[in-house]
Amino acid sequence: MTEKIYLIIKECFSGRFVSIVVFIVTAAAAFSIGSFVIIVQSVENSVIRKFESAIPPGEIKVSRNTKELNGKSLAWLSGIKGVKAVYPLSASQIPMQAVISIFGLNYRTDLVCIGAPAEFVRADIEGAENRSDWLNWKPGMELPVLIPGILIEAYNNSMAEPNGLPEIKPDMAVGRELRIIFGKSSVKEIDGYSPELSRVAGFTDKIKSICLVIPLQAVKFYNNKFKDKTAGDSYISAYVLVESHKMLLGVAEKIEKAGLTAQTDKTLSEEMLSFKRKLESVFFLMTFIVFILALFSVIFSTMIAALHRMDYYRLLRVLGASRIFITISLLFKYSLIGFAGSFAGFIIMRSLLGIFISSLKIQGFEILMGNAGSADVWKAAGAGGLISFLAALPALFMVHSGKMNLDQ
Amino acid sequence: MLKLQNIKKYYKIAGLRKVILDDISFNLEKGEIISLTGKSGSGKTTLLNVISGLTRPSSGSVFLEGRKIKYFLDIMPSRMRNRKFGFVFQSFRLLPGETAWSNILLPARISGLITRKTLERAEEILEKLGLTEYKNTRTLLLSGGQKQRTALARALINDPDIILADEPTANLDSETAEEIHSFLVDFARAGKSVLVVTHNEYMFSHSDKIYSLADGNIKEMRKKVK
Repeated sequence: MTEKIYLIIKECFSGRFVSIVVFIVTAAAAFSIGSFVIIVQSVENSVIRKFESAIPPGEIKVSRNTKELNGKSLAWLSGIKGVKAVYPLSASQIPMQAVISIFGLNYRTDLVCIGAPAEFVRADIEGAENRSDWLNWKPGMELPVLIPGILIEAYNNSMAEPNGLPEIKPDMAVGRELRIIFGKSSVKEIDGYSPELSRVAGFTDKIKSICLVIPLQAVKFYNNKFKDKTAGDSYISAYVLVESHKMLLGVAEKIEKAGLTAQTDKTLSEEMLSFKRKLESVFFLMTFIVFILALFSVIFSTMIAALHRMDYYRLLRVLGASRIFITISLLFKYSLIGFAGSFAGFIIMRSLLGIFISSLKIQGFEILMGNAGSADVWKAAGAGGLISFLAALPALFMVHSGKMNLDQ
Repeated sequence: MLKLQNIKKYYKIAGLRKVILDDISFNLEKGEIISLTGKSGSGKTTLLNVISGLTRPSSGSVFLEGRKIKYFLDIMPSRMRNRKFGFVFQSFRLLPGETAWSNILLPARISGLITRKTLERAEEILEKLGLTEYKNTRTLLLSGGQKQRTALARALINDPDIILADEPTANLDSETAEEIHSFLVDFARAGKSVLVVTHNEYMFSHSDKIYSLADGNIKEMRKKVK
């Protein structure tokens, strides 16, 4: 067996020129496709953040119109056929202040809080402890807080620079403590106002308001405590999750008829949607062209290499190597080269894009490196290996359909 | 040792059946040398391909040590070629960029294991064939005779029972050809078998049987009187 492995390794180092070509082609493909994916996602993200209603597909944002949005209307919404879940949002209706110690300064500001159920913001809450606290929050417990991305953006774009403060990055803010004073603002103070210790549990783009997002039951509790009991049953909006996207418009129509306002992602500007679609099409086309070019380059390179080494494969076969062994040797070789090429291409892309990001700053545009994490490097390398594996099949077919016998 | 039973081989070319081998049957016993002769295109190499399991016969069977060769997944014929047969070709078929030693060990590598015994055997064969001093020389730099002796050493490394030689001396001078032939004769006298495609008189004179192939048909020309 060890000698067979030796022969496979030897095969990997044979035909070095073609191997280098395959390596470079897969590296270039991984570089290009990886860049395209990251750039298109970053552009889309910027478009969504700036222009979209932040309503995900398959969800309806419901707000009051002629009818109030309260416990009764929520129960009615839940009962509509095709509705999977209803997530109500409640706004604080009392004076409030937040005191944040940031960069050595005590920053105090009036604000509002929006209460959201744990299921609605679960994906944005960092850590199991924060998720558990959000779900089970009771008076007296430390309050987990989510910060809307729009708030951070507003701070970074309009406050940080004029005040000579550094920008806030999500990773440096999570876990930071702050105090929220319920019942007191710079203009009004209610007897018995209470400062509550809170901590940043993450960031969210689901709520696009200059506010802090806290557990729904906390908003209800403080509204009841400082206003009146009826305030706890009033909601500013609710997100209705439908069972399938097909049902979206039907459910939205029913809600509208009932006197509530229903907004879906269809309400997004048609121009922006069209721009987004065009952008996606252009990048898809570019990715497809790069993929096809890479695929054919690898196919032809492997075929040329196989043709050059035909005598060697014939000799191996005559001396007792099975077709299976020759197949494994060839496929292993090109899968390995494709894997290594894609790995290198992706790593280079990630490094260069990192340098590019740090040197380029466009207001409101941020390149998301989310798809270039460690796991994604392995995924890209695996995809490169698989493509080379598939691209080597025609060469393999050529080898096996050729004369593999004693003819001289 | 080796038995061919009603072997037929034909190819379809442009819808027409071209018969290459037509009902070939013979036995090769231990210690026997069979010489096979015939014109170019008479089917000699195809017959060697069928015997070694590289080509599947259209009909008929090949038996080795009483076992019928089965072609399923190519496993049995490959193992048989590697362990039971040694091959010698007219054009040597050596890896030119590699040393004589590396070429000789190739069948052992294909079998999956090189033991100390294999290496000792390789050294012995090299010495016997007068190749010790060329052990680390690339075969590209060897003379024709040295190349064929290297090929012969490669054929012997897995201690085969049968040597299949396809015109092994056609590219060699008479002196070297005689060396190779006498080596094949010695191999058979040691209880092994040789099937050689040849037109050489020396080989004919030492063969137990001589077969002639013409238009796919085999004919026994002469049997050695023992």
